[in-house]
Amino acid sequence: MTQVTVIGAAGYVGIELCRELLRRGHQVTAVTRPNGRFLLDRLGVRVEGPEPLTRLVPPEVVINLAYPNRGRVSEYPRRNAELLSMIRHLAGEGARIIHLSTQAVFGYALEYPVVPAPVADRKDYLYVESKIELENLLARVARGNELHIVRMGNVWGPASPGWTAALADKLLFGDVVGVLGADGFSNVTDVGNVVSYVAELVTVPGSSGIQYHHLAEFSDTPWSWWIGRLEARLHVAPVYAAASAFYPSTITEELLASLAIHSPRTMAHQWLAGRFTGSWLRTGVRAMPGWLTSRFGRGEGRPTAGPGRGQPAAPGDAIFLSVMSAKRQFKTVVPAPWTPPVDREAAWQAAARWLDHAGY
Amino acid sequence: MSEGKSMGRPRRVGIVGCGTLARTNYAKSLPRVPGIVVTAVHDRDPGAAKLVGRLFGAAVRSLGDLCSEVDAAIVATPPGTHYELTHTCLDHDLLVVCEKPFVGRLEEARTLVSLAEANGGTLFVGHLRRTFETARLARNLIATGALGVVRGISMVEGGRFSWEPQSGYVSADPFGGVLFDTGSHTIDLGLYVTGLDAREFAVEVQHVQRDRPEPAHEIRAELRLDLGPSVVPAVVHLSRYKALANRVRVELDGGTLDIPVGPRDRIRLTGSTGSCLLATGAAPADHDDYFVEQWRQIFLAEGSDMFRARNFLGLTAILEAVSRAS
Repeated sequence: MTQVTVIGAAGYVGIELCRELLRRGHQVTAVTRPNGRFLLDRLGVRVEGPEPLTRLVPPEVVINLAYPNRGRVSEYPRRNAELLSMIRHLAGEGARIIHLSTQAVFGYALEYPVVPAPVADRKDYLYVESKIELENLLARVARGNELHIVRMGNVWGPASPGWTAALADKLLFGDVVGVLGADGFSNVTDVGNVVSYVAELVTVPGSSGIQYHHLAEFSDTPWSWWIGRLEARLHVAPVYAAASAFYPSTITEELLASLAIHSPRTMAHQWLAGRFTGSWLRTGVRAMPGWLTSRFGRGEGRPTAGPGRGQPAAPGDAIFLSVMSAKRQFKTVVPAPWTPPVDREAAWQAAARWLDHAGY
Repeated sequence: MSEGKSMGRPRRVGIVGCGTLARTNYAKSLPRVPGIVVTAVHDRDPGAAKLVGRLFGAAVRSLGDLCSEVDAAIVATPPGTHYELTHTCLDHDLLVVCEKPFVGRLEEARTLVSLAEANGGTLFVGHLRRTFETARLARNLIATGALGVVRGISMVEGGRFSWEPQSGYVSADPFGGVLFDTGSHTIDLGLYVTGLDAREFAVEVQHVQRDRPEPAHEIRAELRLDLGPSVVPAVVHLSRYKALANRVRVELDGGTLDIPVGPRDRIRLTGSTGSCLLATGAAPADHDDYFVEQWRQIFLAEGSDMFRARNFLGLTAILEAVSRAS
């Protein structure tokens, strides 16, 4: 039995992970925001946080799934710093740290080289920047701890809010689910496999330094495979965009595209939400005094397949479509041999059972 | 509201309850409505009242003073306090907007409606989703009768709960569970699109399953809505734990309509040989725009019945019946 503390435990993966850790007989303490407590109460884990953290029972393993996903754009670095401070406080000198991250550190369209190694800080969408920053902060400060950075592909599973549920909603109400003729690699990992792998990491023999892991056991399965099964189950026909939405690869491209916008308000909005323009504007905002930055808007949160807005040109849809037409794979890379317990057919069947239960 | 209080100047609005809703959606929508101005706020937490007062440039007042100084009051407190506070505001002859969920018991709802109608019918309930374009499209379509009679309604909504209420009412208030909090939205959408919101009916709960006693976080109930000449079966399935289909499904003689619970621009019509999408023709608006539309209907559209409290009696009957069923 291992003492494990899970930060960000009330999220989709977090809850499933707590269940799996308990099933394996570990002692689990969950850390979450106050409004997430009730999600964990029925699991039988000890719930704390986010403050004060008692550290009554020093954990042997600290697993972090949290990331800044709300608040003003100017607050994200501070929230990452707070998260880092919490992880360090809980882990102390000796605990193993397992940090769950995302394939998006290589760009939503995986346009940067996909390697199980550090990724340099760069200008990008807020969520991506923030994820890269937290990986690197941890790598810098966790020198006395064993650190595992686990980057996940697109997390599939029953009721997965980012993908399974969102794709079913899109199909039901006719939002686009991809680009015509551009069927991308799905780079999917099943939630059952994620929690199984992370639970294995809790008890593997100790190693030194930092290890990077990539999880996407169905990376070579095209999106059409998942969409095809969903459409057959829901008895609906999918809608595809005729062309890919604009996904900028340089700031020049982004600025040139914005010249086509005639309304100053729309242009300002586009810049704020833009990949590179938004990043530079955020840098400027953070240099301003606090009373001024409080006037700037909130972050866009975690962009996934979330509710469609019927306007494929919107930035969130451009990100979604770039993921759905990804030409590159995010392959599983794990340091030791591992057999995922959930195969592709089982992953689909579990989702299909949830579709029935959920009223689709 | 007495004529003398409002003629020749903007309506003075008071906010009772300065929680998250007032700080976020109200602060972004109320200032955009012409002809009204928030002049006073009240909360039992002086700090919260001060913060919201500053957002609106409004004075922090006791409840009694607020009622004496304004023409209209918005009650945005935890649901267990709605009856008493709404009653107090109506006693002062104000136009009152009670946030959803209205009240927990049908008898209380009837008392407030009667009191308001005795004063000229100035009680409204904030049910934002009635302003969604998809709700209007579905309601208009069903009202044509082209699809026949309503044979059943299924109202499903679920997702991990992320709202951060200042009061923590979702786990403490007897009417703070998913049934009243989220379900009042979902069920109202089902009643509104089918036109049953304006009808009287008896509610029979045939089966109910919940994760814990109220305030429950997950609930599934099977009902029969007895309209006298006909009975409409209904299913309610709500969860704060996990994603569900997030749609209202209406079974009619001529097909099935799926209506999204959130802002979208399409509904789906399924018949015996296939399905198609029906578009509203308007892109979904920003969430705060729907609040503006709600305020316009309440404060500016004279005679609009859209949010009038008497249209929420059926909803309250369902909420009460399901919450009492074991």
